[in-house]
Amino acid sequence: MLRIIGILVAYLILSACSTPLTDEGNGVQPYEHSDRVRTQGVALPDQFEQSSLNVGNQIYYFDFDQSTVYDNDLASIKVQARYLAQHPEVTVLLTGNTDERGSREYNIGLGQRRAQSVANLLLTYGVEKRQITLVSYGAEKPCAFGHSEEDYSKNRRVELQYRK
Amino acid sequence: MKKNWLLRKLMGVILFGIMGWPIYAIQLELTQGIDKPILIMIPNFQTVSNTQDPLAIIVRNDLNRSGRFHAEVFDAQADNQVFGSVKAIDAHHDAVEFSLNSKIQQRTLLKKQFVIASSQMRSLAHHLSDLIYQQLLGVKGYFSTQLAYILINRNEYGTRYALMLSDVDGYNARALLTSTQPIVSPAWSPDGRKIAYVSFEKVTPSIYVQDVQTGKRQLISHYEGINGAPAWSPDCRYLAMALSKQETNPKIYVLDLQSKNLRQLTFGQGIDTEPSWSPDGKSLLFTSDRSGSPQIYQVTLDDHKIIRLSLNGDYNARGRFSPDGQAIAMLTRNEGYHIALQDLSTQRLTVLTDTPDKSPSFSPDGYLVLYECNQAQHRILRMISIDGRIHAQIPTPPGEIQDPVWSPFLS
Repeated sequence: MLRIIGILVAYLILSACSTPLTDEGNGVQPYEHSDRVRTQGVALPDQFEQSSLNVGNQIYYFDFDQSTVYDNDLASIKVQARYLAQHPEVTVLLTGNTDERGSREYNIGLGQRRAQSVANLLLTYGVEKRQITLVSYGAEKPCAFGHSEEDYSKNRRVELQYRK
Repeated sequence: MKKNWLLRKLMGVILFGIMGWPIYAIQLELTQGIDKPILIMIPNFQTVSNTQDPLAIIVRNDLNRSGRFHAEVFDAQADNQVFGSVKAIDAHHDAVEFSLNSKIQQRTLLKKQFVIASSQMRSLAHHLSDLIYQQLLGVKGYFSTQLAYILINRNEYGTRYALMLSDVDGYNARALLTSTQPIVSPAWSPDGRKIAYVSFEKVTPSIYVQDVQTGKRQLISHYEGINGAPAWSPDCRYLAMALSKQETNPKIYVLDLQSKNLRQLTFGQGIDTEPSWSPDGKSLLFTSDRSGSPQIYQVTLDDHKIIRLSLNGDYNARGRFSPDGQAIAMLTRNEGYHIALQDLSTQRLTVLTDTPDKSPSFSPDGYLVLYECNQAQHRILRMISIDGRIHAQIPTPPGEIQDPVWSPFLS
């Protein structure tokens, strides 16, 4: 039950965090961000629907100072990887993020480690390197702007986003 | 000007002109109080048509904020006295006369005349502060230096990042670069002419060097992965950077800006980042978690020898040498993240602030530290003297402050 709530919360956070980016005409090009979620039917038990096991944008969270992917996220990553492996023209952007504590550039290094952890799993499951773009924002693009432990845990994340 | 405009358009970057932000005077906060300040009397300068003299108040504020002076409009006890006058020559120009006198010695220490454009009034005031400082203390004044910092504004349409420049008192804030993507780690070149920084405008981070006067910029590094933490060598010839290239973890590299030769300085596992040159140009500080958690190391350029400098606690990062090379400012974790100074001869660590602050930057004379202060959910610009006696907030335009850096002496 808790797991469903957890997934729903993650999904809500995902929708809250996504901001449509447009070229504001000042010549600085933002990356293209797709709000469209690709879904496909996945064989699931009847009891519940888990969006993290659908093909679509995902957020994976991390413990403080850690870059190891949670066991619970492996299934979701596998689903994305399988889709990507079957559709080699599709690419993803993985962004690594940290909470605000500590030194800025060191956090960029940490975010890179986190994004690379997810990337390594995708590669293991058959995705090609050229399908993955990796960026670490460190603490520069927080999702939650407070300073509580809860805010920090929301910011320690890797976002997987399908590109147009 | 036209050429600059064209260049800017080509680069696709908006540069704002001078912005007139509502500014309040810097509030100087004394913790322990000034120890034996030099008393100086600076009455308002004489003006012909009863207009307000803008100069004297700036000079008084400059000198008071330095922590070494106590400047008043009237002070019967002050040995040092300044007198000045401002006369308009035409609609846009003024003649300024200024003298610094010693009451005890019964003589004039300094006497100068200037003819300036009226728009240069603030610059002249800071120059007068520099002259007084140099005359009475025997060391170079820093009042004509500049501050650079990142300003962030978030609203429902998105986030705006700007690389800002301002005078030392916060006035004259203007943007060198604005972007919808993060800008981090600005670094002044030691000749004060350029600023290097990291920009995320190309999705993955890239390092640019931008000329402060012309606004023209050059892409220096856009390797795969992390391009971060640019740091200038004292002779402006080299730029140290953190590059991850094909690997996960960044390492320290040194780029020869003339020959374009790129040399890798650190190797192995762990995140190596945040390089910073020693004043003698022979070694670099860098942050590395090769021991398990971030610590500050020093690598010598000729033999690549690496020693660990930070000795206290399990998190020390972003080390910066003081201008005389005798101390390091850093971010340390000790019941929270704070700015600390490590004396390199005694190895004693002094925690400077009690709020979760970041990004310390020394004034060019080494007495003050500029930093990003996290106070009441807002990030503001503050400075503190290395002995902790003087604190001040530096006024900035609306928004969150990050990554402040103090320019070198500029003349």
